[in-house]
Amino acid sequence: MFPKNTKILVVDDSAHIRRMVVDCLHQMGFRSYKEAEDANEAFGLLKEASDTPEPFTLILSDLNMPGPSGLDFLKQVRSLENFKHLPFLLVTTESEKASVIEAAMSGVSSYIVKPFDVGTLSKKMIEAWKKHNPE
Amino acid sequence: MDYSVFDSLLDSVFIINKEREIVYCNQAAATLTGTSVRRLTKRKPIYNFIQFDNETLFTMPNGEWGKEMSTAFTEVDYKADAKGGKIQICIQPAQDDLWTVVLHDVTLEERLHSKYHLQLKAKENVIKELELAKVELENYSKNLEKMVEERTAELNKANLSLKAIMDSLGQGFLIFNEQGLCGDIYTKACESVLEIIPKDRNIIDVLKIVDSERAQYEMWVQAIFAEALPFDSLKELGPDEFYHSQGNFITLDFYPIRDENNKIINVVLVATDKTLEHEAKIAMEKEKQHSKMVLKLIKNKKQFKDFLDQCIIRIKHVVSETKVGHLSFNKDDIFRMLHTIEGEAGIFGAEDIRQASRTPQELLNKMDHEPENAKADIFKQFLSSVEILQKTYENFLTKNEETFNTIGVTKTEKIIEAKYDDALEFLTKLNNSSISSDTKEQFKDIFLKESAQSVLSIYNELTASIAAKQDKIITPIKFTGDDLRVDTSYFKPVSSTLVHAFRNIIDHGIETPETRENSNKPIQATIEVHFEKLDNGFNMTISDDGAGIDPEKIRAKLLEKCPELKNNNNLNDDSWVIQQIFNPGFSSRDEVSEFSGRGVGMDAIKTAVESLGGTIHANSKIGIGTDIHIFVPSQTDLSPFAKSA
Repeated sequence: MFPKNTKILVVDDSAHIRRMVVDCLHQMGFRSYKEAEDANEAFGLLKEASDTPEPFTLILSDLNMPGPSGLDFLKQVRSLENFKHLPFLLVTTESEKASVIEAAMSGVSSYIVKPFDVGTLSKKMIEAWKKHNPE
Repeated sequence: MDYSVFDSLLDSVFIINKEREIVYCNQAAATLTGTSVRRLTKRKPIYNFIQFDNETLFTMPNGEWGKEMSTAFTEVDYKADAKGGKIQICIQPAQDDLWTVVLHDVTLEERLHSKYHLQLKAKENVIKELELAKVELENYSKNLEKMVEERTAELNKANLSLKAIMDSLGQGFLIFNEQGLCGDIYTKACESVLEIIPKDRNIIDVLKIVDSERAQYEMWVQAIFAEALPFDSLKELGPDEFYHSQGNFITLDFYPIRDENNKIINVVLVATDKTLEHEAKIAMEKEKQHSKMVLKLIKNKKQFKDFLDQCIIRIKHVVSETKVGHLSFNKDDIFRMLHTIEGEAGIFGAEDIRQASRTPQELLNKMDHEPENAKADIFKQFLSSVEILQKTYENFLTKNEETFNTIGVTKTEKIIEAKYDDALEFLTKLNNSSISSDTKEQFKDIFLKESAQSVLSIYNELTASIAAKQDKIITPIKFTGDDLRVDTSYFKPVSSTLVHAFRNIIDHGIETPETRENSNKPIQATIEVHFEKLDNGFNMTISDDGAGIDPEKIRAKLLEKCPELKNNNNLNDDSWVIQQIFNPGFSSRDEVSEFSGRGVGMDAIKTAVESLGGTIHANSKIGIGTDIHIFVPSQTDLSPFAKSA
C-alpha cells in the first residue's frame, strides 16, 4: 500500500500522544517520521523537507493545539500548490465535529477520533492515502 | 461386338458368359461394386463382386443356364463392396451365349426422394410454427393492454403494502437533495417521529437544528454531496439524535442514493424511535448499579452496615441541627455531613442516596450567592430536599430489604452492635478480674478491633475509578509500616472522612501521565499509607508522589477570600499557609470538578481527628508530593459512641 519512501510528519502538542502515535507507526512498520509540537514548527519542517530527496508523504496532525490549530495548519498546507494532494490525517476528539466538517470542506484526507488503536490508525491512514492515490 | 456403347451409361452394365464370368463392365458397374473395370473383367464370376437375394435370377424356368428373352426390370436387394441396397435388375441374352446385365440403382433415388421429402416436411413444420406464432402474437397483442393494466395494479398493490410496512415500522423515512430540500417521498411515521411533514422543507429545519449549530450542519450537507470524504466517514459527523418534544429518544441514520456514475444524488434519512430500547438500557444500567452495590455489600459487609448506620445518624444530625433556622445554623458543619454522605454512598454504590444528597448541597451553595431576602426561601427548599434525602434512605432500605436480609444486613438487625456491647461488658468483667493484661489486650484485638489496612482498603476502588475518569494512572494504595489494629467504632469518624483525602489526592495532587512523563516521574502515581504504633496511640501518614501543594497559589487564594490576612505575619510561613487546606471553605482549584474542589472535605478530616483529640498536619514539596500526617490518640473510654457521637 504505502511506498518505500513514505515519510510521516506527526504534529501534536502533547508529547504523550506523539509517543503513542509513533509507537503505533512503529508497530505498523514505519521507520521514517518526524515530530513537531505545533503547527508553526510542522510547517517549517514540511517546507524544509520539500526541496530534499526525502519530502514528507503523509501528515498526521492533532486538531486542538495551542497557537495555530490543526485546521489552520491544514488550510496553510492546502494553500500551496505542491501540497494540494499531500495526504493529511486529522486527529480529533468526539466533541470537535464542527471543526472536522470544516476540515472536510478544506481538503482534509481523513480524520480519526481519539482514543484509537493501531488497527484504526492503519485503516484511516490507508483511507487518507487512497484519497490522493486511487488505484 | 463393341460394348463401348455402354461406357457412358449411368446405369451399371455387365456382359457375362455362360459361366457367369464378367466379359465386360462399364465404369458405373465398377463404381457400384467398389472396384476397377480391369479387376472385374478378369473372367471372374459376377457373384464374386455382387450378390443378389434372388439366386435364380440367372436360370431359366426349367433349370437351364441363360436367358432367351429379356427379363423385365426386377427389384431386388443386393450386397456389394460392404454396402447394399435396392436395385432394379434386367438380364437379356446377347449373341454368342453372352448376357447383358443392366443394374439400375434405385437406392439413390429413394434416398434423394426421402431427403427432399424430409426437407419439405421440415419446412412445413416451420410454416406451421410460424402460423401458430402468428396467432399467438395476435392474441398477445390483444392481451397486452390488459396485461399492462394487471401488472400496474400488482405494482401499485406492492407499493402500497411496502409503504404500509414502512409506515407500520414506526420509522420516519425521507429523502433530501443537494440543497437540503426534502422530496415528496416520506413515510407517515415522520409526522410522529420527527413531528413534521418534511415535504419541501429543508432537512436542517426538519431536524430542528438549533441556530448555533445551523451553519455546521449546512456545511455538512454540502460536504456529503461534494463527497469531501467517504460517506461513512461524513455520516459520523452528522446529527445523530433528534430532540423530540415528548422526550422520546430518536436516533438518525443516513444512506446515500447514487446515480449511474456513482455520484450521490439524494440522501435517505431514517429516524427511529428507540425510546423503549433506551429505557431498557437505563433500567439495565440501574440493575448493573444494583449488582455492583450488592457485590460491594458482600465484600465489605461490615463497612456497609456501618455506612447505613452512620448515614441515618448524619441525616438526623442535619435535620436536628437545622431546626434553629437559616440565620443561625452551622452551614459548614451541615455541608460537611452531606458531602460525607455523598462520598460514602458513592463508594458503596448507593446511587439513589448519593443523588439525593447532592440537591441539599447545591441549595446550600446557592444560598451563598443570593440576597438575604431570598435565603429564607432557598432554606425552605433545602429542608424539603433533606426530607427527600431521608425518604430516599428509607426507600433504599425497603427496596433492598430482601437483599440485606439475605446477606445479613438489616435495618433492624442489631447483632453487630449487640455483640460489640456484649464484648465490652465482658471486657469490663475481665478488667475487674485478675486475668493478665496481655490476655485482655488479646481479647480487645480479636473482638473489638480490625486491621487498619482492611478498613482503608475500601478506598482502593474509589481511587481507581476517579483516576480512570480523569485519565490518570495510579497503583493500588500501598500499605506500609506496623500491622495496626484499630477499634472500628472509635476510628470510624476519621476513617470515613478520609474519603476526602483520597479524592483530593487524585483530583489535585496526581498529575496527568503526560505531565508526569515530562517531569521524569513514572507514569503510574503512588499513594502510600504508613502506620506507626505508638504508646499513646498511632500515627498514620498518607503520602502521594503528585504535584505537591504550591504555597503561592494558596496564599493568593487566601488573600482573595480574606484580604485582611495581608497584615498577618503567618502568611509568610509556607508551612502555615499549607495547613490552611484544612480550613472550611478553602479550595485550591477554580474549576469545580465532579469529585472534589468545593472547598469541603479536608476540614472534615481535621474535625474528625480533633474530635478524638488527635492532630493533623500536611507537608508538601512542589513536584515531589504531599504527606498528610495524622496522629490518633489511644482510646481512653471504650464506649464506642463516647467520641463519635
